[in-house]
Parts: sequence; structure tokens; C-alpha cells
Amino acid sequence: MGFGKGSISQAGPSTRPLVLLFSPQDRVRNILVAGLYECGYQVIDTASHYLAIMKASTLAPRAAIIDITRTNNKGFALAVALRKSERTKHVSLLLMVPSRPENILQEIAAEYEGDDAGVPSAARVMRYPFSFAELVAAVESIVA
Amino acid sequence: MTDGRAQRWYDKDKKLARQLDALYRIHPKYEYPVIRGLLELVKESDPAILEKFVIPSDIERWCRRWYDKDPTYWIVLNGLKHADEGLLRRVAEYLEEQLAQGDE
Repeated sequence: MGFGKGSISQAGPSTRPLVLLFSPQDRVRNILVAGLYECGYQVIDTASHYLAIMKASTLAPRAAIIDITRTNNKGFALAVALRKSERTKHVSLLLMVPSRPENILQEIAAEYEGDDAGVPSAARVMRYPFSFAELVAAVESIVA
Repeated sequence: MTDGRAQRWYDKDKKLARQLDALYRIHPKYEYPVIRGLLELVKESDPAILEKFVIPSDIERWCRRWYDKDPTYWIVLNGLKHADEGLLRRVAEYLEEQLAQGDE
């Protein structure tokens, strides 16, 4: 798990599922890509929600990590698009949201946390700030 | 690098501080193998510390240090903040050896 010896002993970057990472924040994206790669995940990342939708449709990641910031609602649009599409509605979602989300973000969280539409993927919500350990644990719980 | 106004977390260890200052000045041609080797050393010794870094929502506000420039540096140096003295000593020794080779 994580950087632990279990994942090291398995070696190689492709021991774990493919995840999609969307964030408009370059620094967040770069750090999480590097960290998840070291934990054995294959990661496709983008700052464009259009590209994220395309990549999710063609590459079928097991999970999508979506950064929803106060100043950029593209993450929200991405989450909705992934859930609506037949090709991507099975993709598990992990939403990274501000620590005190505005009402609209609370609605998103409530929508996904309370979903009982029968879609098998679970949606997790993670509030900033969080440790990388927490993120890895959340990712592992939704790709399992 | 120290300006007397702000102590870096590794300044308490003079040898480590000296080696990290040297790492800061290393020629880009040599730095990648060194930082990758450092990452592997930490992974073998105490991998859990590499997961302790926190992602704040206003991350750019916190990225003013020289080792914030690169994600691997970020992971390693922020992880080493949680390392015990034994690991920090090994890190200093590793850097001393590697950086001396770079001087040759």
C-alpha cells in the first residue's frame, strides 16, 4: 500500500490500476502524478476537462480524481459528464474539494455521496487540506 | 543560502544542511540520478514518511522553497522532515558520496 514495501516489492509502474487525474493546478497535478506513480499507479493527467472526458472515454480508467476549486468549476462539469456517459459512468470518482465548500460544492458532494442510482462506482469526497496518505487510501478504496 | 532570518527545517543538522545546499547548487545534468537515488533510499528505509506531506488548497502560497521546484524533490524533502536522526544521517552520507562523484 502506498510507498510501503508491499508496493515496492511488486515493482514497476503498472502494478495498479489506471487512474485519471484532473486538476487546473499544475503543482497539485505534478505532485500527485509523481506520488501515485511511485505507488505503482498508472496515471493520466490533464488540466482540460474536455481532454479528461476524452481520455476517460477512450482509456477506461478505474478511477478519476477530480480537483474542484473555488475559482474553476470545470471539475464539476467533468464529474457530471463522467456520470452521465454510458462509457464512463462506471468510473469511480474521488472529488477533492475546498475545506469549506460553497453551497454548490456541498450540493455536488451530497449528490454523489447520496447516490443510489445503482451505478457500481463509489464516489468519495476529500476536503483540502489532506495528506498524501489519505489520498492514497481513498484511491485504493475506490479502485478495489 | 541561509539569510539568518528564516531557519530551514534541516538547518539543525549542519552536515545535512551542507549537503542539501550542495544539492541545490548541483548541475542539472547530475541532479536527477541523485534525487532518484535519494528517493529510493528513503523508500527502503522508511517509506511511510513519503506519504505524510499535506496538499493545501492554496498550494502556491507554500511553494517558495528551492525544493518545491520539482515534484520528486517535493516528495523527498517534505518526507525527510519526518525522518529520524538515523535516516537523516544516512541521507547526508549518501549525498556526500554522490555529490563528491559529481565533482570528479
